[in-house]
Amino acid sequence: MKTVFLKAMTLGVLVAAAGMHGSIALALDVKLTDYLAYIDVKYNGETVRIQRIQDQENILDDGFAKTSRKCPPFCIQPMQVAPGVTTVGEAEIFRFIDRQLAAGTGMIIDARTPSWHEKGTIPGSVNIPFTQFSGDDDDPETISAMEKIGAVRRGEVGWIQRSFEKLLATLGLFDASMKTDKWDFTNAKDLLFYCNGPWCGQSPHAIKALLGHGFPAEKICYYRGGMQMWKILGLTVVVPKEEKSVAMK
Amino acid sequence: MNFKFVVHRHIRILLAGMMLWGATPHAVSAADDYLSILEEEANSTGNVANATVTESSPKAPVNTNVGENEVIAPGLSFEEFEAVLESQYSGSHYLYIRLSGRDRQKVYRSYQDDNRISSVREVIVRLLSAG
Repeated sequence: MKTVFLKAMTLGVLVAAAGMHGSIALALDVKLTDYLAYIDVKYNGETVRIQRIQDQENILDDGFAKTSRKCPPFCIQPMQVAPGVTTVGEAEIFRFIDRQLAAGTGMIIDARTPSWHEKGTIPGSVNIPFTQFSGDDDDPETISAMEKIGAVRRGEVGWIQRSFEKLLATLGLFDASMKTDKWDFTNAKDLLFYCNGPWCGQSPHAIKALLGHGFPAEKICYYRGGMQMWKILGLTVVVPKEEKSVAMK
Repeated sequence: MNFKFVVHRHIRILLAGMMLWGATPHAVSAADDYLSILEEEANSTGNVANATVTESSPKAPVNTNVGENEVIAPGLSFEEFEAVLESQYSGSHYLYIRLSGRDRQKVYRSYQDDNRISSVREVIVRLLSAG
C-alpha cells in the first residue's frame, strides 16, 4: 500500500514538473519539438504560452508571406553575422527562455524599429531598436541602451590604468575581455538578437554596432530566422499596446 | 627624402581627407534612406496575423534585473535620489551630471511622479537632447 502510494506521488510530481514545460503533450498534435509541447514565458507581468498553431491547414496570409523584397536593402543575410557570434534556431530560443531568461541572466532583443515591433513580436522579448546601439560611447541613446543590457559605464579610465589592466591581463591576473576603456560588461546579459528574418539587416546592424563598443561576441546569439521563421512555424506572437506612464509612490 | 615623394604623399593625404569629408554626408544620407525604406515597408505590412494582443508594451521581461519595470525607491530626497543614480545606474548618472542644475531638478520632479528607471532615463535623454 505504502509502495503504491509512493509510486503515485512520484508519478504526480513528475507529471507536474513535465507539465510546466509541456513535456507531456496530452492535447497538442503540433508540438514545438519531439519532447516539448509548449513553453511559458513571463511577458509584462503575465504568463504567455508559446506554442504552435494547431490548425494544420493554416497558411500565412500577411506581409510575412511575401517571398521577395528589393535588395538592397532587404538582402539575404549570411549565417555567420560576425566572428564569435552564435547563430541559433527556434529550439535554442526555447532553451534560452528556459535557462537564461528564467534566471534573469539573458535578454531576447527585438532589434527592429518600433513600427515593426508594434505589429507583433516574440513573447519575452525586449524592443531595443538597432539604431540605439549605433551612436558613439557618449551618445545618450546608446548609453541608455547599453545600460538596459547590463553594461556599466566606467568612469574616466586613463591610459596608465588601461595599460596596467592590459599588463595584468597578459599575466592572467585580470580579465580584460569584459572591459573596455568606457564599458564594463562583466555583469552584462547574454543577448539573443532577432529582427524580421533572413532578409532583414536590423539585428545584424545592432550586433555589429554592439561589437564595435567592445561587447564580447561570445555573449551574443543571432536568431537569423527572425519573425519570418517564427511565423512560418506558427509560433505565438504578441502585439504590444501603448504603455502608459505609472506613478508608483 | 625625395621631394616628389613628399609632394605625392601630401597630395594623397589631401585627397583621402577630401574623400572622407565628401563621404560623411553621403553616409548619413544612406542611413536615413535605409530607415525611411524600413518604415515604408513596415507601413505596407499589416499587423501579424494570429497575434495575441497584450495590455501594454513591455520593455523588458519581469524576470530580468536591468528591466524597464525596475523602480527607484519612492520618496527619496533630492540628494538621496542623486546618490542612487550614481551607485546603481552609472550610465544614466553619466548623462545626468551633464545636465544643468535646473534640468536636474526637472528630472527629480519627474521621478516623484513616476519612479520607474525607464521613465527617469527617458527624461534625462530628452533634456540632454534639447540642451
